[in-house]
Amino acid sequence: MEKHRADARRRPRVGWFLAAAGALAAVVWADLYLALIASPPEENMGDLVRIMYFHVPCAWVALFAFFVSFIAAGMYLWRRNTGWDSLAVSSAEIGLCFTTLALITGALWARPVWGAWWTWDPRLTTTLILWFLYAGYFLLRGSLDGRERRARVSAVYGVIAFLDVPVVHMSVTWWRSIHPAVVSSQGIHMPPGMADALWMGLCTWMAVYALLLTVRYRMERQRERVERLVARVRAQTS
Amino acid sequence: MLRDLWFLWAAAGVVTLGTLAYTVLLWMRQTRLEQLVARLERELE
Repeated sequence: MEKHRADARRRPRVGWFLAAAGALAAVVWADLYLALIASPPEENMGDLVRIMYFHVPCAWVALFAFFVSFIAAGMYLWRRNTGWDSLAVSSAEIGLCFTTLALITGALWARPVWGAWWTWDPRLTTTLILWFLYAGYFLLRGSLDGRERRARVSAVYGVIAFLDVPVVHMSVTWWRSIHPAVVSSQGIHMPPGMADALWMGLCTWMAVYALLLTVRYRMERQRERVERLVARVRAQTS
Repeated sequence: MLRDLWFLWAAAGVVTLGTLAYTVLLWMRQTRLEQLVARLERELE
């Protein structure tokens, strides 16, 4: 019985992942159709407005992922449960990936609209700082030995790094910025047809984030299990 | 017009293919770790 349970644990659990990924692929196709074909072009920007349906959700998901990482880091410092540390690092990695995508898509929009790939605009600059802060988070984690120490120092750093997120969000209000404020506390500033495409994009990429976080979190827990097993094997052989 | 479409398809491609590549990478890392756990557990038995 015990052996059967152990075998089931070892078997890669592909069923749930394939089902979720398949359903999500259908949603992504629907989102691509709405963003690239069904939504109307903008009066001045024409088809370039469609880049917004990728750029804004990426930026949104990135900030949300860092928020989840911040909460998880705070919870780790409070509870000292390694599960919170796993959640913090998983969400931070996805946040860093989506920040990279937001920076690339932003540059692809800026080149034809502003005439430059990059400007030192407050929104762009604070986002680049955010990218470096979270890249530093992973460099720091990689340089620390000891499970407990790595989790504790990373959690403190994660809480401090998050301070840049509200600065990124408020940068278009606090300083003179040429970056459009598409999403604010008043909602989405776009005509109805375009706002629908943007909402669809936000929901789709948040769902993608949820799937990625689930996979990444399970991976982190598995990695910790490997560390524990390696220590046991070493203890047994020495 | 054609130039605009190039930028648009580049943005859509980067986001979609980038996310797909990251998902595949995560799945490969997870599978490798599961195999490693199985091997280490066998060694401990």
